[in-house]
Amino acid sequence: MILYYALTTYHIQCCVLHKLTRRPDEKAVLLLSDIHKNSVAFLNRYSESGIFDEVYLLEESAINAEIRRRGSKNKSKISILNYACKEIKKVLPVNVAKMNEVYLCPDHFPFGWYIIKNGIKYHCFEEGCGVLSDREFMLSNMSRNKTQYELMDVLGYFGENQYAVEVLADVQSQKEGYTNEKMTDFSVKRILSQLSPQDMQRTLKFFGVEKKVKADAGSLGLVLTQHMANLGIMSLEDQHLLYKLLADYFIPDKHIVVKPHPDDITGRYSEIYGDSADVLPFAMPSELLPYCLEGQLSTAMAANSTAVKAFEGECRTINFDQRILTDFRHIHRYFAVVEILKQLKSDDSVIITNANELLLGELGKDAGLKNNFEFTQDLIRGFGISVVSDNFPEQDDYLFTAEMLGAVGDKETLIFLNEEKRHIYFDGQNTDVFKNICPIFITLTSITDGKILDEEVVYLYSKDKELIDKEKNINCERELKYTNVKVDIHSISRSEAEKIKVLEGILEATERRLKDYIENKKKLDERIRELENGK
Amino acid sequence: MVRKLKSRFKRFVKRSKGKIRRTRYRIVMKHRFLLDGYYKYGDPNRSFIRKGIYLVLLVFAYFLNVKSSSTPNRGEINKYTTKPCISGAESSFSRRHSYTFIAKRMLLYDIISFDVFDTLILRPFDDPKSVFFLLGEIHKCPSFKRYRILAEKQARAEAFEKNGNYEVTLKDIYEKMSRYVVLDVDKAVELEIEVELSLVYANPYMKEVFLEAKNLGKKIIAVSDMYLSSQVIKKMLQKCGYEGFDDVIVSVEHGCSKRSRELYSVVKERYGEDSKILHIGDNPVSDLRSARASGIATLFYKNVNSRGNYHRAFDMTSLIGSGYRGVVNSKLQNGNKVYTPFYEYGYTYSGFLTLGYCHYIHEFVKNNNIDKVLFLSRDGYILKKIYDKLYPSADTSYVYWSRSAATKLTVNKFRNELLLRYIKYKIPRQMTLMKILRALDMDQMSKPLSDAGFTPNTILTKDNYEDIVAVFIKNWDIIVKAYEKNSLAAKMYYEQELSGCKSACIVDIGWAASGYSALRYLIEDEWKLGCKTYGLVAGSTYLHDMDIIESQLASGVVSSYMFSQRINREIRREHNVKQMYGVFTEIMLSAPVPSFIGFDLDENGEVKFEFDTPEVEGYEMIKDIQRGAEEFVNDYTAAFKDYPYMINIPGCDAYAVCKQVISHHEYFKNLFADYPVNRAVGSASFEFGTLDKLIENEFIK
Repeated sequence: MILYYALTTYHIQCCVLHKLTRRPDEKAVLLLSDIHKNSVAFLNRYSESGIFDEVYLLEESAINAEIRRRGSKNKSKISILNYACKEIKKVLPVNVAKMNEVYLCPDHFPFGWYIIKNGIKYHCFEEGCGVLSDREFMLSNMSRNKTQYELMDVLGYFGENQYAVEVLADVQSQKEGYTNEKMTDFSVKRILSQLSPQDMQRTLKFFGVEKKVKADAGSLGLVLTQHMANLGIMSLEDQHLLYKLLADYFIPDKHIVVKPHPDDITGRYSEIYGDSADVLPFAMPSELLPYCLEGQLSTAMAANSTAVKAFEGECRTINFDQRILTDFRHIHRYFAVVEILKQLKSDDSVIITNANELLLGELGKDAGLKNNFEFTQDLIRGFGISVVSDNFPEQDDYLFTAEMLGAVGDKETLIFLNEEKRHIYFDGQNTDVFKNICPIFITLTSITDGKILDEEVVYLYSKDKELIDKEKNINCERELKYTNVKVDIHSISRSEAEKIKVLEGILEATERRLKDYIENKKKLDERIRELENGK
Repeated sequence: MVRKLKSRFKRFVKRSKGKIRRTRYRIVMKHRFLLDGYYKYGDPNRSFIRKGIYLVLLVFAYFLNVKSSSTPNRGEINKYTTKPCISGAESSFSRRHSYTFIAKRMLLYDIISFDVFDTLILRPFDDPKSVFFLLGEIHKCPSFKRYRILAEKQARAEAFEKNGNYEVTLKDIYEKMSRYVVLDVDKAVELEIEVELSLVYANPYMKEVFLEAKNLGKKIIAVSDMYLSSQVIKKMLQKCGYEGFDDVIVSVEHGCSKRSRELYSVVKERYGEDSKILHIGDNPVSDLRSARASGIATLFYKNVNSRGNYHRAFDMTSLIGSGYRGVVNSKLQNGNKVYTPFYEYGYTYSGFLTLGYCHYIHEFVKNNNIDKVLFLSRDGYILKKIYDKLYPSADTSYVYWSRSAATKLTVNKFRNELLLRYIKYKIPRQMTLMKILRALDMDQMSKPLSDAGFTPNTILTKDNYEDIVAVFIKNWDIIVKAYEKNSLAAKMYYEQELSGCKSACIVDIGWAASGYSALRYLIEDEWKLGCKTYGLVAGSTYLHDMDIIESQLASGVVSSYMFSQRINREIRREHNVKQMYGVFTEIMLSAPVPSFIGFDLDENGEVKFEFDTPEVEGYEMIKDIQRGAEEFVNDYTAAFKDYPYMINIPGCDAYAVCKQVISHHEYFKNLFADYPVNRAVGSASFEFGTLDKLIENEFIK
C-alpha cells in the first residue's frame, strides 16, 4: 500500500499522475490536508474518481493555526514540533507504519514534520515546477510561518534529510548547473503529453472537467483570470467590469473559455459572458488547460498574469501589466485615440507619454494600425504624434505642457487623454490654445434602453487646420455586448454645444490651477512658519 | 513584567469603564424622570466623574420627590442615546465578511440555506410593523397598526393552546381582527400580501452571496419563520430577482419554527441527516443559536437596522421616521459598498431635508397657483436638481443671487443692510478701508473718506465706525449712482427669467429671508416686472432680530418649512446659531460653484455675472454630498413609489434628522475639518478658512 499526502491542487495533480503512470497496479491511499479548502470541498469527487483506493482528509488546519499561535507567543520550536507531532498522531486516519511507501507533497507542513520526526522513509515531490533549485524562493514563501521557517534547520525540508529517499522534480526546469543526488525526473508537463487517452479522461474528470470545450478552429478566446477582489485590489464589481471590457474589445466574436484563478471563487463568469462562454473549474491545475480544449485557440488573454506566456507561439497572446488595473476604466478613451490615429493615416511612431502603451498597442493591432508605440515618462517634443496622459505625479506639469504647446510645430499632433480631467494643455492663461484644440466626444449609451450613461472627451491638439477639419468628420460606433454599452465616437462643428464644452474645460482648468496655487501657498506658509520657529 | 502589568491595568480600566457605562445606562433608561434629567437638562460636555455625581444627585432627587415615573419607550431612549457616526464613514464599519470569505465557506457545504426577511430581502422600514400604517390608510381605519399587532398576538396564543406551537396563517390573524374592525378577511389578506410585495427589494450584498452560491453549483433553500405561505414568499423572492431555489420552507406550513429548532429538523429530514448545510440569517436566536444547536453550520448576518439605528434620528413621526431609517440603514449597512463620509452626509441628512423641502415647495406652488419657481444660488443648486427630478413638468430656474448682490442693488431702499454687512460686521476682522471699498467695488468713496481724514490704510474699529458711517450717509447719492449699472443688468436678467410670469416663488435656505425681501422689493416695486413674489425658506431665525419677517410670515408671502415664529417654535429655540447649527445645515445644500457677487454689463451691453474665488478645495466633497442626496431621493421615492404620501415629510421630521448631526460639532470637526469656508464673500480674498478653524473660533459651548 502506498500513501500519498497532498496539500495544494498542484500537489494533488502530482500524486494523481504519479499513481497513474508509476504505480498503476498498486493500492494507494490519498491523504488530503484540510488547510486547502478545495480539498475539503471536492473530497467526494476525489474519492469517487477511483484513482485512489481510499481518500482521507487530514484535519491539519487547526493544528497549523495552533502552531502559528504558539509561534507568535515565542514558544520554543522544539516544543511546538512535539505538540504538532502529538496532535497529528491523534487525528491521523491511516496507520502510516503499515504503508510500504510514503509520498509527501510537500514535507514542510505538520504531517511532513511527523514523518521526519518519526524517522519514516519517504519520497518527496518538489513544491512547484522547477522550484527545487530555487531555494531562496521557497524560503521566502515559507517565511510567513515563523516556526515552520525556523524548523528548516532541524528537519531539513524539501528532502534535505536522511529519511527522504527520493526527490521527484522536473529536471529540465531546474536552474542551470543544479544537481541533487536524490533527484528523479518527474515533469508534469511531459507526463501529461504522454498520458493515454483513458488516463487523461480520468485525470480531467478527477479535477471536475466533465467534457472538453469544442469550437471551430480559430474561434476560441481564452481568458485567464486573477483574484483581484479576493486580494482587495479592487471591488468584485470592478473585477467583473474589467473582464467584460477586455472581452468586449479583444475577443468580441470568439467563443470564450474562462479559466479562473484557483482562488478566484467569486468571479461569476458564466453569468458575465452568458451562454456563449465555457467556464472551466477554478480548482483545476492550469497544466491541464490544453487538454480541455478541442479546437485551435485564437487568443489567450489575461489582465496581468504570466500564465499567458504558456500559449505564446500557439495563438495571439494579450497580457498587460499592473497599470491595467486602473487604466481599464479609460479603455474607451484609448479606443477613441485609435480611431483618431486611423483618421490620421500615418504610420509614424507614436510617443505615449505616461499612458498605457500596451493597451493602446493591442487596440491598435485590432484596428490594423502599423504604428510603433513608444513609452516615455516625461513630456518630449519633436515627434509627429504624441498621446499624453494627465496622470502625472507632479502637480505643475501643466505648466511644462503649456510651454511645450507654444513650441509645437505645424506637423505635430498631440492627443490628450485627459483621464483625470486635469486639462494639462491649458495653463490658466493662454486661451489661444483653444484655437488649435478639437474635442473628440465619446458618448456611452445603454444598448437596452438607449439612455446616455456617460460622456468622455479626449482633446486633439494641432496647428494643422486641415487635420483638425479631417478629425471633425470622425464618426464611429461600437457595441460592447458584455458591458451592454454602445460607444459612439464623434466630433462636432463649432456649435454651441462645443463652445459650452470648451468653456467647461476652461473653467475646470482654471479651478484646478487655483487649487494648485492654494496648495502651494499652504506649503509656503508652512515653510515660513517652520523658519520662524527656527526649525 | 512591567509591560504585562501595564496591559492588564489598561484592560481593567477599559472593563471598569464599560461596566460603569452599562450600569448608568440601566439606571437612566428605567425612569423617564431620570432620562429627561440626565439627557435633556444635563450638560453633555461634563467630565466622566461630574456626570457620575450629577446622576447620583438625580437619583437622590428622584427618591425624594418623584416616587413614580413611567418607563420611557424605545423611541424616547433612542432620541437621547443615538448619535451620528463620528469616527468615519458608517458603511466602513459594517464589518461584513468579504464575498471571497463567504464563497470559500460555501465551498465546504452541499446546501446553502438562507433566511428570507432582512437577509435576502429588505423592506424600507426599520420596523416591519410600520407596514401596518400603510394598510391602515388603505383600510381607512385609525389605530389599524395596534389592532393588527393585537390580533396576531391573540392568534398566536390561541394556536399555542390548540396545537402547542405559535404558528398561524395570515388568515388566522385577520379572523382575529374582526374583534376590532370589520373587514373582508380574504380581501384583507390579499391586500396585506400586495402591500408587502410592493415594498420588498433585494439586499444587494446577499444577492451577490446568493449568486455566488448558485455559481458554485450549490443547492439553495430558503427557510423562514413567517405567517405567509411559501407561494407568496417565492413570489417576493422572484420579484427581487432570486431564482433557482431548490425549496422554500416556511414555518406556518410545517407548524414549527426555526426558533424552536423543529423547522431545521424538517430541513434535515428532507435533505438527509448527513447533508452539509450552511445557514445564513440575521436573527441571533433562530438563525444562529437554534441552527447551531440543530447541527447546522451558520453564518451570521447582523440585521441592517440593528446596526444602523444606533446612528439614526428617532424624534420623528412613526411612519416617516421608520421609512427614513429603513432606507438609510439598508443602504449604508448592507455591506455591499463602502462610501465616503461626504456621500453618507448627503445620503443620510441632506437627501431627506431636500426631499421634504422640495415636496413642501411643490405643495406651496400648487396651493398658490404660482407660475414659476426660482431657486436662489447657491443653496438652490441641489434643490432645483431634485425638484426637477420629482416634478419634471414644473417651470423652474436656478437664478443668480446673493446677499452681497442684494445689498448693493437695494441701496436706495435698505441702507442699513449695506452699513451692517460691509462695515459693522467687519469690525472684528480689523479690515482696512481700502479692503472694504474694494469689496463694495466703490472707489468713488475714497475721496469723501479722505476729505473726512481717513486714509486707505485706516483700520475699521469700534471707535471710528460711527464716523465712517456718517461719511457714507452724507454721500449716499454717490453710492446709489455707483450701482446703477449693476441694477440695470440685474433687471435685464430677471426680466428674462420672469417673462410671462404673473407670480413666482423664490426659494432659499433661510434664515432671515433677506434674499427674498430684496428681490421682492426690486421685482415688484423698483423694476415693476408685474409679477407677485412669494418667499420660501427652510427655516427662519435671525440672531439680531427674532421678529425680522414677522409681518411677512403673517401675511403669507413668506413661509418656512421647518421652523419659524409661527410653526415649531420649540425647534426654533433649539436651533442654536451660536453653536453653528446654521453653518452645518448650509453644508447640506452647498454647491460646487463659486459664490455669486453681482451683475454688471459687458462692452456689448449684455448681462455679465461676477463670481467670487471658487472654493475648489471643497468641490469634490460637495459633489459627493450631492451624489448622496440625489441617491437618497432616488432610493426613497423608488421604495415608496406606490405610497406618494410618504414624501409628505413634515418640517419637524426633517429638522430631527438635521439636528441629529448639526448638534454634534465633533462630527464636522472630524470629517469636515478641511471643508473650505469663505467668511469674507465678496472681498475677493484668496485666503479661505477651514471649517475646523471656524469651529475653533466661533463655536460657543
